[in-house]
Amino acid sequence: MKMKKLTSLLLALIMVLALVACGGGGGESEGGESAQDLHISITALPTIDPQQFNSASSYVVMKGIMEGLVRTKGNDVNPGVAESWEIAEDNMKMTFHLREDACWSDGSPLTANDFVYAFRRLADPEKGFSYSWVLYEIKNAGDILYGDGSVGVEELGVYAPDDHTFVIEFDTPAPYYLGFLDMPCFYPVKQELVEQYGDEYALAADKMLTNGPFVATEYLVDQSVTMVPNENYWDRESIKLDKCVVDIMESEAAFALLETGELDFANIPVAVAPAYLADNSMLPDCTVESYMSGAVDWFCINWASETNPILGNKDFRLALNYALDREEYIKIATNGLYAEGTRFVLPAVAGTGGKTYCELYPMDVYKTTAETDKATEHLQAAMTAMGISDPSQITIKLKISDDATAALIVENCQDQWQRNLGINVQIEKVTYKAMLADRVAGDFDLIYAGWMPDYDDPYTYLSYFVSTNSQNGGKFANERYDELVNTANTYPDAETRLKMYAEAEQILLEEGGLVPLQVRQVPYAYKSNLKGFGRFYLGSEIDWYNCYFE
Amino acid sequence: MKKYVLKRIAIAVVTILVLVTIIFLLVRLLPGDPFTSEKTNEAIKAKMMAYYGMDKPLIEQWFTYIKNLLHGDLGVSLKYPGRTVNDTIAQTFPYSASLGIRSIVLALAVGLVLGTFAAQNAGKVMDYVCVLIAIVGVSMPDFIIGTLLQLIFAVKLRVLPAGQWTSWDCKILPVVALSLYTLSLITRLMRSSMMEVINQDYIMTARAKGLSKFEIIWRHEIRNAILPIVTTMGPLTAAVLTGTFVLEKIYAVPGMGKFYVQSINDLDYTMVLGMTTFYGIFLVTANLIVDILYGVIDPRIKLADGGGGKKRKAKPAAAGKEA
Repeated sequence: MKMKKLTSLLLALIMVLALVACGGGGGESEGGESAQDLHISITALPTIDPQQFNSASSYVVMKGIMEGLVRTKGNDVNPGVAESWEIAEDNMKMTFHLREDACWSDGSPLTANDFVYAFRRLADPEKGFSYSWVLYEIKNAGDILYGDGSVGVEELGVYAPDDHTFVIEFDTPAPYYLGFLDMPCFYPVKQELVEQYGDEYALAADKMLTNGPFVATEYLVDQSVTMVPNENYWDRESIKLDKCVVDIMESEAAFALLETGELDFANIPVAVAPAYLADNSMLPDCTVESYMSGAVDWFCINWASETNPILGNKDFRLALNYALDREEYIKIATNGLYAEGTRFVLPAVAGTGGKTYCELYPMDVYKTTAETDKATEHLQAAMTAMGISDPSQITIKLKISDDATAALIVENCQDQWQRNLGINVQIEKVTYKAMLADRVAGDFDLIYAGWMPDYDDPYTYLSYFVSTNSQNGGKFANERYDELVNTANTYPDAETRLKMYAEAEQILLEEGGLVPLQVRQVPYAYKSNLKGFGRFYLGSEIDWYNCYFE
Repeated sequence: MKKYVLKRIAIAVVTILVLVTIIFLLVRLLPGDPFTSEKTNEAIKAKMMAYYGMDKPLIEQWFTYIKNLLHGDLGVSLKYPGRTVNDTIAQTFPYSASLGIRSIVLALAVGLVLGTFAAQNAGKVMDYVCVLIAIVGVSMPDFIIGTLLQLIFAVKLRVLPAGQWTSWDCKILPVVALSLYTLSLITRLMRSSMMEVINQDYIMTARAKGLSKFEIIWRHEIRNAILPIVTTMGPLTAAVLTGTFVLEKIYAVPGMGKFYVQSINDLDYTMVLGMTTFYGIFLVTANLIVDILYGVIDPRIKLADGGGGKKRKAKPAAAGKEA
């Protein structure tokens, strides 16, 4: 009898637990769905504090709830909080004229001092904001961020002569800076709120103030954000959506939810993308497209390798480049989705006169297919110089992170180099964080690397290989290259500047500074009745603020 | 009994302390560091290390951590600026717990019925069907089951949502996918345990007394056969809770799993440590409850531990080590 009681007790306990569980967890779906409700997803949203910005995918939300001095849309730099601006001839000073009626979402005035405070906050060396490097070109920023502490944040080259004028002064000319200012870390913050909430600032929707086209009504860290139009926004009439919900989830889950119609947009996993791109009807009511995400991938070569001195040999590096059939591996590994990369700067980066930089300065140092004769020739020269008789005596290691697509690409490169050159190639897989650390530390032979642009200028790519850059772990060092890249910005004339960049890039390629691999294409799908939806290789990966359903 | 419980609690505390220390050291042995990223530089990295107190000697950091832990403070995340680990757990654990508990309840309910049913029909077709279900459930990993269910019921048939955790129908697929493994284990365990009981003399006695078949199953067979299930509930809870990680990812459930897995990739030391400690405490407590419950249900354990007085029976395995 006692045992029976206990068993029933146990069962009752389980049932109670189950009932409790039913009560907790997960807000039920809200009613009142409108035809102008957008539901999208991104992969990460670590913070919505502008200066704490540390993940490219949070751009999507940040640009919805906030607005900087300017607002970029594709290549265009449009007015944001600033109505107009002047840039000094020598690119050493920018003056912004803020809207007279600029205000926060609660209607309180937004002044130039809010920008001064935001810039100074970002420069605070005590805080260690991960994106504080963006300030580097601004007057005194280097001394404030990396100095001995004798230069305070008040000396940063940003000023507010009056409430509606904001001035930036530079230490080095930064012709690309205007569009760059749309990066979330440059967005304004209200001093009294930051001081009031301290470490808790922006941890909840009501613990911050925003000024963008939308306001967040609900925000759960790295889970979801619900946004509705900001009634006090200066361009309120251009906003047609009634609501936008951004959920944070894995891209595979997002794609499943797009297929069942619960999301209005999702990226398509690379592995299955070609089928969907070929047959649009596989996703009913959806438009399938792909766009150049801005990422270029390449193998970083360790010039200074102590264990593998042959990597310091120019002929060997060229042999690696010539032996690679980029068309072939892209076909196998990505079904032809990615574009072959034969240079370092993204093909889409702006040049002058409506042409891209790459159109203005074409380069044919490497081809998309293999040039095996040239490869063998250079390999022979390298072996003679290094005193090696047989290519099988050469072993190189390729280091990659645990990314499925990257692994497939690198395995193909391994195969091609072994076939076309007869050398031994090994693959070493490490975690993503370990790969980053090893790359900076120079602990590799060849390491798989990717780069996203920060602004629409070749400098965002080419500055990587300047010998003094701490990110340049392969220790590529060329005096002429450094001179060209470091001084190009001092020439106000855009054509001269781009020409210098082109010369630098040519040197980088001819020296075998890297093994360019590919330009990434990201396939995606969205509801066909969704209009005004855009994707661009810079800034926010999704441009949704002016979207509407037809 | 009181002595037994106290001893178990003391062991649980030591276990957690050892766990925290091991994870504290292990996570720092992982190659890389939390602040190196594509877009930062060494000088900024050093500033960030200093900001989070990671430039201090390891032993000092450990003492600080333990001190904060005793106050229930699991620290601040390195990846989510300003966000405490406590807040993250408070936000996400209810989802994981909701998914986990529903799955355990489903697994218990269905598993016990299927197991009993199979044992009653031993050797017949229905037995084979139940055993087949159990074998499939045990052999298929949850990520395959999860993906398959999603493909069939959400993408192809469009009868259920493909994910998220909002309306009631969103919850069906992840709960079923997560419970299948546990359900199968319980079915098999219940079946074999039941088969053993069926052949006992007291069942024959019961039958001879003229009790109805239902009464025999309910009052004599199930009650005796269920004991081994109770012992396995501790480890099974662990299996279900870690299983939620994978299914949360597939079904976009905003639970702890994503933060846990992602924080290891991001080397978010405090988050890894905090979540592991939290899970450690949770699982150790679950095992503790099972141990105590087992003692309550099986009176022999109580006797063996000196609660009664007459020590005549052999000590059961579960309490053997501690007694």
